[in-house]
Amino acid sequence: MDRTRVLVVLAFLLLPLGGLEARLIHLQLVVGGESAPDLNNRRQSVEIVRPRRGRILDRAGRVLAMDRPCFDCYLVLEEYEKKPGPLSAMLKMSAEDFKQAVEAIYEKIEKQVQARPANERARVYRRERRVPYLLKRNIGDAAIPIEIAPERYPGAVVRESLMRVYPYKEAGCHLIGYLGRVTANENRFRELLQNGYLYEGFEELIGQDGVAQLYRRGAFNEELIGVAGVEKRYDTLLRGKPGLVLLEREAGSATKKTTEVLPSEPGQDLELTIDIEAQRATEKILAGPLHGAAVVLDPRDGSVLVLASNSLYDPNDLTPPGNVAAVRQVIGDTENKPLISRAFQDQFAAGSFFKVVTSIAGLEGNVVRADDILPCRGKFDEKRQHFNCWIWNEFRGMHGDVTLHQALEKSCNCYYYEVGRRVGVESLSRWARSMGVGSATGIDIPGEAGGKIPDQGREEDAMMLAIGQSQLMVTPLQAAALMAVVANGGQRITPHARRGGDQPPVPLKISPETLKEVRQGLYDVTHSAGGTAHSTRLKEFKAVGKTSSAQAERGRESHAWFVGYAPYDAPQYVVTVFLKNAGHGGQMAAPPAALILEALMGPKEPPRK
Amino acid sequence: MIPRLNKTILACVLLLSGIGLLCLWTQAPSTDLAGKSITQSVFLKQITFLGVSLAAMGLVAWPNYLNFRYLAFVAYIVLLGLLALLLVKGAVVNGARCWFSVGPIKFQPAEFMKIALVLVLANVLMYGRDVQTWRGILLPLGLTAIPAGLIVVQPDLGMTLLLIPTVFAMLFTAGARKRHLAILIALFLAAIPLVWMKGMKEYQRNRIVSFLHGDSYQVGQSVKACAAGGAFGRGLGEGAAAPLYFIPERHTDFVYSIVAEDLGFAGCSFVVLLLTIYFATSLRIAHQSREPFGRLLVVGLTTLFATQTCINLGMTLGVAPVTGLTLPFVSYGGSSLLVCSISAGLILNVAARWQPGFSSRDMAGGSVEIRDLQPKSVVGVGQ
Repeated sequence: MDRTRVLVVLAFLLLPLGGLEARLIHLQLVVGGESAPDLNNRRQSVEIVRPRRGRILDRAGRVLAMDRPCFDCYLVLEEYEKKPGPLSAMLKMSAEDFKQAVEAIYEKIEKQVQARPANERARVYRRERRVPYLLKRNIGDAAIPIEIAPERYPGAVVRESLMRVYPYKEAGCHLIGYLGRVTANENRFRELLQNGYLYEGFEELIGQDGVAQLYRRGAFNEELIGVAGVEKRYDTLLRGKPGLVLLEREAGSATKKTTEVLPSEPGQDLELTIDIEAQRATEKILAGPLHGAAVVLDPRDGSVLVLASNSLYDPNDLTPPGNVAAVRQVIGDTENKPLISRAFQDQFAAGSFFKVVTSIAGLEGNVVRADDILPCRGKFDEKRQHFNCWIWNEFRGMHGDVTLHQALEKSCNCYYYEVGRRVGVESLSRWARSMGVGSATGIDIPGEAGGKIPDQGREEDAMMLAIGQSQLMVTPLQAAALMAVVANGGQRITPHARRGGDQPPVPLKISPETLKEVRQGLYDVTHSAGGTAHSTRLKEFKAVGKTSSAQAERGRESHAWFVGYAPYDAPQYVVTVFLKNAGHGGQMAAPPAALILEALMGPKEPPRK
Repeated sequence: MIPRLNKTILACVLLLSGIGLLCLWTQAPSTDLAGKSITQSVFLKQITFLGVSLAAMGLVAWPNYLNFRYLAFVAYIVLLGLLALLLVKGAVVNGARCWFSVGPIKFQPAEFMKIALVLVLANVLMYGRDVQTWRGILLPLGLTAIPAGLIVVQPDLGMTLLLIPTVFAMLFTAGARKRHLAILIALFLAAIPLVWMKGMKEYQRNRIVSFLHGDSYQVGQSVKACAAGGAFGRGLGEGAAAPLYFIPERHTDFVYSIVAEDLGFAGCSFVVLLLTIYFATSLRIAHQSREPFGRLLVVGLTTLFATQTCINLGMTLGVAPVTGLTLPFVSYGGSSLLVCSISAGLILNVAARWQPGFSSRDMAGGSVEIRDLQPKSVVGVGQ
């Protein structure tokens, strides 16, 4: 081994180090030496470029939410206070509001100053007073005079930005949702800062320092995120990725050099399954003093076409800059609770439409056959005082001998007391859960209520549950999911609002014979002369279904339900209509269901008598 | 003082780590996003790393380095396994799977592989019998290619690039024919287009293209900050108080830009001088050592870290593309510091035992078996 070869290696290694030293001389002594004063006076600041948030579209491509360009007014405190112009009048702000807005800017600066070491504070304070801070968003036409004659409004800086607009206003508000400031929820803000959601990709470019500086300047505080509805659920998809620009300027010079460091990526559009025209029509049909909700699903795949509740808000008011007075009103309305959708975020007593579940449980459990005749004598038996048929309670009447079809058609309680007694609570609740009642359906909108169903109990509990009373609580959406199982031939579907968000249907092993019998019963409800929803226009739309008049609070009218589907020979729509404390389902809930179907399917010729 | 401790190496290590701490103190992000001060915690972390690293250095310098010969094979195989595992289970950082996260500690197997590989190569090449034949060259090349392949698919191109000059320098020192090496280098150059087309990821190509075009954002920022330093710098801590330029990973990969901005040409040259002394002293040790394993070991380690230094400084000064390699001893980061210190420990170890009067000729004669050599018996045998 030749030891002198080590020296050759040494020479090879020293060569590049010498080269680097030469580079240092060039860079620091020649280039840096010449222009050092320049370089030391240069300041870089970094700003976030907000991407366009994706649009939300309905099934026909109608725009439900979009970003629209708008003008925001910023204020440079130092310039404004030297010579205040008539800015507040131009922006149509009262003296009080304007003073508050300026105060808010001072607070922001103060917060930043406090975050710095004591010896830097004076300098940071002076610097920040020369930085434009947001004064008012969406100033509209006021932007033009300020842009044309900036000398009249010292300190005012107009910048273009984007604001979220919901063209259909209240329609579908619970489904679409709205945006809010990320700082509104302190914990969530912390979490998003910790996991880097708000500055993805920034750190690789401007380092932790840069991100920290952005944070100290409050650059993330104006960030908007989805707070409710699909705006929240699909925030990641819609928001896009923010970009970065570097602004470089010489001290004492106004000219700036802007370098795009990270291009922003616009968010993706979100297509929904909702039909906004039908939604709006449904909301109009439901409008009135009674609290109510309606749901329309496609039973074949679980697409949500209509998800309506009749206490609404306008997302334009709630999304910043928003309308403070309207927000106060919405939050303060504890009577109607407009922020909560009664279609899926609240739960109610179910009533007779649950007899569909009892029928299936009875037939599949072989405890009753479709042509078995069970007697209705008005009262179930003498021992149990409270187990009466509705016809006894109202007319002291009775249904006589009934089969399954007739029991469904006339909503006979006594028939189902007996079936429920034979089936038992456990089996009933198992069937109910498998069909989507009593537990969350898994719809892709946040805040779904879970519903409630007892899992075990005595004979009397089974009898009560069999007619949909007892402790059973459901959402109108769950009722629709239940009826979808009957409509689509025994498959459990997951309701979803995003187009293409289908989850594979789960077959429930319900025999075709059972389904045929139940469907025949539902047909009779709307078509046979004795049906509870016979005297409605539902026949025109080949609609079948079940009514409910669920006893709720003592001394108040019962909840009115209609849960059905149309057309019966090739089901396309499952319709649920719910009206709280409205009275009889057949009288109160079935007629609106017909109107909703008309909105969806167009007017139909009444069938010939 | 401990006898035969090479004080130059030790002084360089301590000074460079000190400069690293200084930079960290003045430049580390002062607060996290919750507004909590983290300067101290980052600084304390690095002090802890330094303590552990210096302890490791002492530990490695203590027993006769010949004891590491066989241990090296075990480490090599274990690390190969870890590198393979990393491709399946590693945490993805900046698009690459380089790290294992074990609780709060991030472990980068590739860093440790560097040392294991040099040890293994020194072992294979120490007798120098076959190195003049193609067959003899192929074994070390193959031993390098396996980990290099596993590292390049992570993908960590910078780390892979370090291994090539290292294996060449070791082959050259072991006595390989110049003709063979020249042919190999020609083959490597010929393979570059192939690697460019097939082997590299889009972002790596972009980095190099943007570097060649001179419009790489990171490098541009770093060069501007370095130039702003001038002859004597803006003063310690100035860069942090009022950053002129935003530089990512400033206290890790771009730590040299802090030295350049705050301490100027004087500080930069001092760092280069320290590193030069460190490498030159190491190679002097290799030159003087009469024992081939130790010599090859030192040559390999020195080439490895000198190449890493050149690529890191070149990146900071805008003459090499961004590769994510740290500056030995100065950059923030536990793995890097630990590995550099272990390497320094090995060099100190060889330096302490550089005097045995055995040449390869003696061993070829079979009069003395290397494994019989104990440090005590070695010491005192004159040259």
